[in-house]
Amino acid sequence: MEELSLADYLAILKWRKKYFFITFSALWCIALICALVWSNYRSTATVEIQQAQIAAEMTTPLGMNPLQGIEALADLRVSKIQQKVTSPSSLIDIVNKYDLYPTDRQVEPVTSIVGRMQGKIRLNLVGSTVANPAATEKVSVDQLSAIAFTLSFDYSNPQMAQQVTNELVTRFLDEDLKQRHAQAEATSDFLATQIAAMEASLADQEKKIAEFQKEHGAARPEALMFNQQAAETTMLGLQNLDSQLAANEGTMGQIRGQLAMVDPYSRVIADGQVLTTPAVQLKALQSQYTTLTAQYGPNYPDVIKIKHQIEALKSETGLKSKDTGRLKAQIEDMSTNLAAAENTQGPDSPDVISMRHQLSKLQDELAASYKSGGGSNPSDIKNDADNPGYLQLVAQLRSAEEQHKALIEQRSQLQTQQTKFQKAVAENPSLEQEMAKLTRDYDNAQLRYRDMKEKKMAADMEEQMIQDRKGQRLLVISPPDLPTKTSPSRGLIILGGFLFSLMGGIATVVLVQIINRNVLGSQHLASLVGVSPLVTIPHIYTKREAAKVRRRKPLMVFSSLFLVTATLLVVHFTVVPIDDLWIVVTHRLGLY
Amino acid sequence: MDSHDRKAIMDNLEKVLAKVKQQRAAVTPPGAADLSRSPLMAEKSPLPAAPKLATIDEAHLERHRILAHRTRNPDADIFRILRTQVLQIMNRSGYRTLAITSPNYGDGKTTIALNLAMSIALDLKQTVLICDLDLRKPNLYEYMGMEPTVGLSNYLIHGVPLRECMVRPPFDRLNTLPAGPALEYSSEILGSPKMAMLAHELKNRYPDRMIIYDMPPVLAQDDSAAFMPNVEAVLVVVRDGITRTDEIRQTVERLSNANIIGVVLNDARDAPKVKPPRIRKPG
Repeated sequence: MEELSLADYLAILKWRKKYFFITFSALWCIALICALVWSNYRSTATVEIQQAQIAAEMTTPLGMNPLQGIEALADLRVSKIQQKVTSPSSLIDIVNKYDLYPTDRQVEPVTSIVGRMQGKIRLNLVGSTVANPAATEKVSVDQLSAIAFTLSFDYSNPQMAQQVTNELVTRFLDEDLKQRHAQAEATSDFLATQIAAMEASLADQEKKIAEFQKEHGAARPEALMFNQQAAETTMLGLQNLDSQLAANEGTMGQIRGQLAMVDPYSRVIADGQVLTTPAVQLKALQSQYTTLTAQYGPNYPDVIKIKHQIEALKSETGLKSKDTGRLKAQIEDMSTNLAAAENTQGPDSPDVISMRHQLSKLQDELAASYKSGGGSNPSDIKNDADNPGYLQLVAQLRSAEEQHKALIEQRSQLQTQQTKFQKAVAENPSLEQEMAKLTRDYDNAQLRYRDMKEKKMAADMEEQMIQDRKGQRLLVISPPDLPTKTSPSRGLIILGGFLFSLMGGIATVVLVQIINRNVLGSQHLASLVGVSPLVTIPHIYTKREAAKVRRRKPLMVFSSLFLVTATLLVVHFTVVPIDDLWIVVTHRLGLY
Repeated sequence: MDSHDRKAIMDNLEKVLAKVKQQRAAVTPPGAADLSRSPLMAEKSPLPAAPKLATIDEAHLERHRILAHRTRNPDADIFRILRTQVLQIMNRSGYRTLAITSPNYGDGKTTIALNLAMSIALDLKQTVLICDLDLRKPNLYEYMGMEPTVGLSNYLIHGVPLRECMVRPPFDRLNTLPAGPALEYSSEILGSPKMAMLAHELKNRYPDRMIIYDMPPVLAQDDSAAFMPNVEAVLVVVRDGITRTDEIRQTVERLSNANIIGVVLNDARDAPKVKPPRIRKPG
C-alpha cells in the first residue's frame, strides 16, 4: 500500500476535478431546492418548574435532603405528565380540534398520524440534575430553581404550530395540578391511617409496660440498686439485731444469776424472829423438815409437827413450792459436806451416815418435784418476793425479756424483708431483660410515630401550598412563540447543504480513486518504482485541444456564476436579504 | 506552403519510393533473396542514402505532438532535458541502444521516442536510428505523417534487405526503420534469434550511431519484454493519472531481465513549469 501525503491528496483532487464538481453541484442544487421548499416550523414554549415559595426545608420530612425532595419529583413528574398529555387519545383530540394534517387524514388512519405527531413533539429538561448531575451537588436549592423544560411542536404552518404548542402547554399545566392534588391527598390519607395504627400500637405498648411494672413492683429493675442496698442494710440490721439479742441474752443470764443469789424476801427483823412471808416461812419449814427427817427419821414428833405446819401453810398460800432450785442447791451443799465429812471422819461415822440420808432424801424430793411436772422455771422467780433489790432485778429481767421478745420480733421482720430483697435481686436480670425489651419496643414505636407525624405535617402543608398556589408548580416562562424561521432554519440548511455537497464531492473523488488507483504525480510514481522519474512531461496541448479548453472556460465560468447567483437568490428570499447582509458585513469589516 | 502542395509532394515521394523499390527488386534476382543470408552480405559498401522526404507536414506533427525540433517551445525544452539525462546515463556506461516502452497503448511511447530521437539528432549532431518494433500495430510513421510501404516486416518475411527497409525522413542525422505492413500474427518474433541478430547488426554497423527502439507495450504484447536482452538500456514511460499502480508493478516485473535506466512520467497534470536550459544551441 502506498502512503499518500497531503500533496498526493491534493493531486488526486485536481485530477478528479470533474467528478468533484459534478457531484458538488448536483448536491448543492438539491440543497438549495431543499432550502426553498423546507417548511417545518417549530414553536417552543418554556415552562419552569417553579420551586415552592416557602422554603423547602420547612416542608420536606426530616432527614431528607431538600434537593432530593425536589429532584426526585421533577423529572418523574414531568415525564409522567408528558405521557398523559401526548397519549394518542389526547393527541387525537388536538388533531380534531385544530384540524391538523388535513391531507394526510384523508389517506391515513388517525392513529398513524398521531404516532407521527408524537415524534414531532419534543420535551427537553433544562438545567436539571439529569442533564448535569455533577454541578447540582454544589448548588443550593435556590440556584436549582432554574429547573425548566421546553416543549415544542413542529408543523408546516407557523400559526398552527404555535396554537398547538399552546394547547399542549395548557394541558400540561392542568394535568400537573390535577396530579399534584391527587398525590397530596393520597399521601395525606395514607399517612392518617398509618398514624392511627401507630397510636393504637403505642397505647398497647404503654399498657404492657405498666402491667409489667405493676406485676413486679419492687422488683422493678430500676429498683435493683435500691434492693441491693436494702438487702445489705437489712443484713447489717439483722447482724446488729443478732448481736443485740446475744447481748440481751447475756444480760438476762446475768440478771438471773444475780436473782439466784439475792434473797427474794426482804429480811425484816422483828421480835428476834425473822418475819417472812408465808412462802418464805414455808421454805424455811420445808428445809427444817428435811434436815430433821434426815437426822431423826420421819416419825420423830418434831418432824411430824413441822410436817403439819407445812401442810397448813401450803393450804394457806396455795402454793406448790417448786423449789427445785433450792433443792438443788441444798443437794449440792450436802454433797460437799458429805464429801468433806467422809474425808475427815471416815465413811462410817454417824455424821456421814446421817448426811447420806439427808442427801438421798433431798434427791428423792427433787425427783418428786420433777415428777409432779413442774417445768423448771429457769429463772425460778418468786412471785411473792418483796425484796426491792430482788424486785428490781426481776423488773430488769422482765424488761430484758420484753426487749428480747421485741428484738426477736424485729429480727423475724427483718429476716422476711431481707428474703424479699434477696429474691428481688436474684430475679433482677431476667426482669431487666424483659423490661429492656418492652422499653425498646416502645421507644421504636414512638420514633416511628413521631416520624409519621412529621410526614403528615409536611403532606398537609404541601396540600395547603397547592391550594394557595405557593407550592412547587409549573409556570410558563415563555409562551409558545410564532416561528418566523423554519426549523432548522434555511440558512442552516444551506450551510449544511454546502458542507454536505463538499463532502459528497470529496467522497466521489475518493471512491473513484479507490476504484481506479492510478498513478498520480511524480512523487507517487517515485514511491512506486523506487526512483524519481527522469522527467515529468506535462500535457502537451495541440492547437485543437487548446482551442477546446478555451471554449470550455466560459462554460465553467458561466455555470459557477449561475450557482453563485442561485445561492444568493435563495439566501435572499429565505434567510436574510442580501442588501441587509451586505450592510452588516461591510459594517463589521469597517469598510463602510 | 499550403496543404495541397504538401500533398502533392508526398504523393511524389511515394511514387519515387515505389519506383526505387521496383528498380531494386529488378536488379537483384528474387531468388537471391535468402533469409539465411546475412544482411551484411547484401551491401558491402554504403549505398547512397534512400530518397529523402522533402518536408514534413508541420500541422500533422503538431497534431501528434512532435515538437522537439522547435526552438523556443517550452515543451521542446523538456525533451532536451530528457535527452540530456538519458545521454548522461548512456554515455557513462557506453550504451548505444535504447528501448522505449510502457505498460499500455496510449501512454506516449512513440511520441516520446520520436521527440527524443529528433532532439538527439538535431541538437547533438549524432546519428540516430529509430526503429518501430510494434509489428502488430505500427504507428511510428503515422506520427510522421506517412504511410510506409517498406519496413521491418518485409525484411523478416520476404527478406528484403535492411537497407531498403529504412526510410530517411527530412531531418538531419535521423534515420528510421519502420515496422512495415502490419503483421497480425507476430507473436514471439521479437524474441526470436533473428531479431537478436538484427539488433546485433544494427548496433555494429555504425559504431557511432544511436539506436532507439519504439517497443510495443509490455502488458499488451508478451514478446516485448523478450526483446529486451538485445538492448542495452530501457526507458519506461508512464502516463500520469491513467496508468494504474498495479500495471506499473507488473511492467517492472516483466522487465526484470532488462536494464531499466529510468522512468518518464508523461502527461503530468501538475508538472511544474520547467525553465529552459540557459545554454541554447543557436538556431
